[in-house]
Amino acid sequence: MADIIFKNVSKAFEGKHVLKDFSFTIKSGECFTILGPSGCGKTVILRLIAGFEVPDSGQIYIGNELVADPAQGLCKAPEERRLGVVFQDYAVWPHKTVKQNILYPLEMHNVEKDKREDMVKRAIDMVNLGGYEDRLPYQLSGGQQQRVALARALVDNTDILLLDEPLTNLDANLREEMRFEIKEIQKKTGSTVLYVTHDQEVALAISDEIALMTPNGQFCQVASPEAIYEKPTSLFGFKFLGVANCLRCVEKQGKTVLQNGAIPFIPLDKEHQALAQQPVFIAGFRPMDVRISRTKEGFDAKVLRCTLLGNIVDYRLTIGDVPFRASVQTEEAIRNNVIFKSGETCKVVFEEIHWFEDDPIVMEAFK
Amino acid sequence: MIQTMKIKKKFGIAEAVLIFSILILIVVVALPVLMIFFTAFFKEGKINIAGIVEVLRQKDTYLALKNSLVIATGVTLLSTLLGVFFAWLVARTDIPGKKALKEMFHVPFMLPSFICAMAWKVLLSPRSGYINKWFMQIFGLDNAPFNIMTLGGIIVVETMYLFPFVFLQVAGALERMDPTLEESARISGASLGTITRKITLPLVLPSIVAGALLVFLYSLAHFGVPSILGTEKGIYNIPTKIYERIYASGGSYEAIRTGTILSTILVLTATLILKAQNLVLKKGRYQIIAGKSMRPTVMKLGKLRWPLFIFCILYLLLTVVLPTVTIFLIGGLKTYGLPFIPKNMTLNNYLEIFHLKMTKNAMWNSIYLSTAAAFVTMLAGTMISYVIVKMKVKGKGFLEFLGVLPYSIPGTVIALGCILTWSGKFGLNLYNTAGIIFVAYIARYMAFSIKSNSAALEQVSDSLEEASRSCGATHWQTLSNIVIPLIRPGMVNAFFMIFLPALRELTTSVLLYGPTTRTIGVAIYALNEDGETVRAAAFAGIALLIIFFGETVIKEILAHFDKSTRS
Repeated sequence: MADIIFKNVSKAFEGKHVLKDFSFTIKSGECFTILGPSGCGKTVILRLIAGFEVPDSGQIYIGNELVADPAQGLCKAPEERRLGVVFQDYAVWPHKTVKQNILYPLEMHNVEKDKREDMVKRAIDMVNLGGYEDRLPYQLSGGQQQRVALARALVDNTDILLLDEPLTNLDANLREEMRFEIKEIQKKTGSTVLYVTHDQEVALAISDEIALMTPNGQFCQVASPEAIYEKPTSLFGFKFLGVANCLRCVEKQGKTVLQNGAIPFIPLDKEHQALAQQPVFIAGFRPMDVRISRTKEGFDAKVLRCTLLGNIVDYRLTIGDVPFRASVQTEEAIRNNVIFKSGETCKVVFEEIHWFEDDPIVMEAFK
Repeated sequence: MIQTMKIKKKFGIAEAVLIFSILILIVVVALPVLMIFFTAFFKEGKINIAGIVEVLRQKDTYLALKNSLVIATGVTLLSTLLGVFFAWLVARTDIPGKKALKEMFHVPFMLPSFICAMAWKVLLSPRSGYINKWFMQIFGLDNAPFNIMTLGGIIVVETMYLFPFVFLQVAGALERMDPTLEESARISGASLGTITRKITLPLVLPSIVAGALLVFLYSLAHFGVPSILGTEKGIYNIPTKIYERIYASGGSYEAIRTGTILSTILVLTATLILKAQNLVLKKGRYQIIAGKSMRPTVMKLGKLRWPLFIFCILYLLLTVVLPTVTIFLIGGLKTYGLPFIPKNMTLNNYLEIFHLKMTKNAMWNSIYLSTAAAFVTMLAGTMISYVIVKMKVKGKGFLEFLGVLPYSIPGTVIALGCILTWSGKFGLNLYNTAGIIFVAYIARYMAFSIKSNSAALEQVSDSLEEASRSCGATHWQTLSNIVIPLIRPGMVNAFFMIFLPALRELTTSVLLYGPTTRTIGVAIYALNEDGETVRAAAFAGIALLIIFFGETVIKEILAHFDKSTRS
């Protein structure tokens, strides 16, 4: 059992609240990702679990054991918590070889000497670093250094792995490869993983559960990657997970119209009828959920720009004065003859609309 | 069982280390300085403005103050010109042998300026200077053509050995400057002259200013050169005046008090200068000087290439080789004043240095005092820097302030402060013992140590320590396994940054030595003052050998450390 439980945890820095009355549970054996923009406090959660920060109030449990409770004056030191931590900047010690780096936790935990060799070898094999044992970190690439950090976190069979943006400093190819490897390793070891990142692609790819964190330090949705992506419960979540069109709408005489120009739009669905009471609400849709044709049915739209980006074609369109983005697979666009010149008109159909309350701050912040 | 660690203790390890660090700095650095101010401003418990005015109205103290300023200003101007010129030659032109020249321009730094002043006095003093006599013979002159024992002479000699402060700063900045800044100006149609004036110069100005102010501070409080070239002719600056007053009165309290008043003026001037430097540097802090080395555009010197090279070589021959050779030759004379012909030469003077009790003692004193002070200062500096850079505790701003305080405090002032503090007033009387020189060295060089260690610690990112903690290491294990090995080059560097200057220190030691605690600098100085020129030169020669040996061996050691911990 290695559940991680936060109960009403608060933490402030210099009087500024980062976390307030925070409660959640990470279940044993799952890969739990905290996804949020930088500065939202996600790293603070990781540091509280690792023991680098002391909470101001509340309790933190790791595997049924209370590790921090300021009310009792209790906070176990990082070295007593037996966690593996991987940092954004790798934090591989430059004066130790690969092997010495990975051996270190075993030395500190006083693991029997004759077992160490095997454990180190297993960890090195797990991250595919065989043959690099005696290199110094400066002789390794960024990806290799990150593997060393991973092996070091894994070597002593820790139940819990904390990963703080471990892939951010790697280039795109390596990032793809490493996130696959991390997932593999997690499956192999069955450890509980807390992964902290602002990269929604990585989060969607490796998580069993994602907690989406808002800039003001709250979880706005905790759900599976599919649900997070397909059924966003907040405008923030919808916008954070990918390119998003957010059109302001109003309800006029029982009809849903675009706020700008009062052009009739798709009517509110039954689930969201309550929004009709609001002065303004948001219709959100992804560029991929727009179907474009030359003459079929749908809304009249005007093409501002149509750009071939390789595997997709990117459109900037307007309905009336309201701009939005759309994209179509290149092959499909050619087949349907929807490669336009600027100024041409077309028909558009919106396949999936998400309805949200208006939130000017979110609308401004993540354009 | 749950192992626990109590949090929110009122008094944790961090606080203990902080308080210990502050205590060291207060006792060793702040207390002596406070004692200076206290003694200057208070007499028998009352504020003593009249006393201050009286001291300042005396003609000789007023003149000393004026001389200090004149010398420092002159040296700063000359050093800046020379330093910038040579830096530009080495960093930005196609002058032959750039690398070797750059190394050579470091050499004047290694030479103790008072030893060179001795050499110049031997060569250019109006009465018996060898060069003067030679010129008079050849050209049949009645009067000596040169007189080094003037204000101008002092300025020239100090400049010879202080200009590397400017050279090093500016050459470094010129080499690290992003060449695209100049290239884009050239593409925009600016001529090379315009680029130099409008782009390059403003960009390296902060480095020029930094170097120039180091020279000014150093010269303002410099004892060696003015005392060797000026004292005999009645030219005093503040440090030599303080020394003269205290020496003449046998260390009377009144003389010390006069010293403290003059010291206060020195400290205030120095503080003002540093403030001015901060202002200039803040204004000019562009992010254009990158840390990594780039290939700067090089100016073609054309016809001037070789003449300028020869000029550099002549300059080095004149300022480095000539005085060094002179010292060794004088040290080998049977009697001072004889011409340099084989018949008059002997090695006995050099051998004597190793037999005479006074010189043997001085060597031993210098070596063990420098080693001990460098070691202690290095360790204390490491601890203090760790608190400043790494710990999250309140009150470390005060520590930082105390740590950099010695930068603006001249060596003479530190010596006086130590006399006031460690002569029994606080229950500990170190006067006339090696102990007082030891604490004075620590106070004088603490800022070096903190600077070097802080720079090293800033390279160690917090996550390296946190990674160690999460691997199961305690705070202390993390320090010894991770932090110390990583900052070891900085610590070694700090050690030598203290050890080498301390080995040849004169300004501070000369006010603190007792009958058995002469250091190398003091012994050479005393021999020279007593008219034992030959012996003084022989000892100076040996000191030069020790220093040269130290510098080269240590460079090797540092290079080795650098290689082994490269990351």
